Amino acid sequence: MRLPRPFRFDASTWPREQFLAVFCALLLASAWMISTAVGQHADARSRYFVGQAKWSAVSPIPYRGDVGAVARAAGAQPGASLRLIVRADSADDALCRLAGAERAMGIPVQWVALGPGDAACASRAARARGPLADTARAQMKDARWVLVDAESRALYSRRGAPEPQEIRALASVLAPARRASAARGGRP
Amino acid sequence: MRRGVWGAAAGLFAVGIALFAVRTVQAARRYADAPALTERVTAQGPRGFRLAAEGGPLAGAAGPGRAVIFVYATGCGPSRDNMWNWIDAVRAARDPDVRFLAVAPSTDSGARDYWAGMASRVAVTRAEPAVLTRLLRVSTTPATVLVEEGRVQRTYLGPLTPAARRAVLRFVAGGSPEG
Repeated sequence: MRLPRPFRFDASTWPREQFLAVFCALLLASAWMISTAVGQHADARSRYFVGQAKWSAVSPIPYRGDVGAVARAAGAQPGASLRLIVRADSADDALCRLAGAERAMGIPVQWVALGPGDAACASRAARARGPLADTARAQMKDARWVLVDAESRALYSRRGAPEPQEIRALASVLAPARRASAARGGRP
Repeated sequence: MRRGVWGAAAGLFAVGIALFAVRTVQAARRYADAPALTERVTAQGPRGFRLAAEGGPLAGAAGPGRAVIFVYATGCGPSRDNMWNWIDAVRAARDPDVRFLAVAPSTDSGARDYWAGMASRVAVTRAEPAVLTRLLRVSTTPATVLVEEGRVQRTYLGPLTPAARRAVLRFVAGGSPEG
């Protein structure tokens, strides 16, 4: 019985020209793949940056958008012309500073928990439950805090954390009459 | 003959490699420039022309000093999404001489109520869309127009992206809209 001959990779089994042709074709294919991959990566990166710019250009809750469910979940105080509602389940140190600066800001601060994980600073957080939570979560979108007027309409919202002095400055723009009354000793 | 075929194949190979190399370099350049794209996202309208608004609805912006004109419509979603940028612009104005003017189409009956407490800082007015197009060369909302000494310095169309927002904030703080 004759054993099969071992394969020999040399000029007799693979002519030099064939080898060169296949090698060059492989090189071309890899060059095409590299350029395509880099191109797709560049397009994805461009789309990401453009999307990021457009996303950060708009406020999470549109101006005068209805946030009635959020206000109810937070335990709305009737009569306050301007109040700040903060998501307790996303609160960090910066948001927690608002809890202690309520008097300095001159507007009431209310906390709403639309998910698990309250911050320690938000011990007064109202816990929304049941179908109300879904509506409130939908209204709150991805905002972490929102300034609302007496009719529970969003005036200003942000995804990031604010500073108390920023809220004070916003209040002076959004409700200047109320600020003047507060300065004279009236109730906000 | 055989030699000619090999020569042609080598030429094609060289051209292919060169083409793919150029494509790769262009893609790499696009990759590196991607962050700078955000600076160019906001569409800019015409600028450099004088605001011919004597006696018209935009007369308040045509005088000396700086003015910012917000062109909006109460029922316009992008305008509502953009309001926080305009609120920040009003808040950032350190110079009390910067005038803010909000212009809505004349058919918008709730134009003034829309600004609520800000109406004391922002002069709210209405104008025929044709008049707006003629005076500001703007036909869409929202638009933010920066005016200095009666001349339009910048017109930003659509919600202000971060770069445009920075330019507006610089302008109302007394600086130049340029970076």
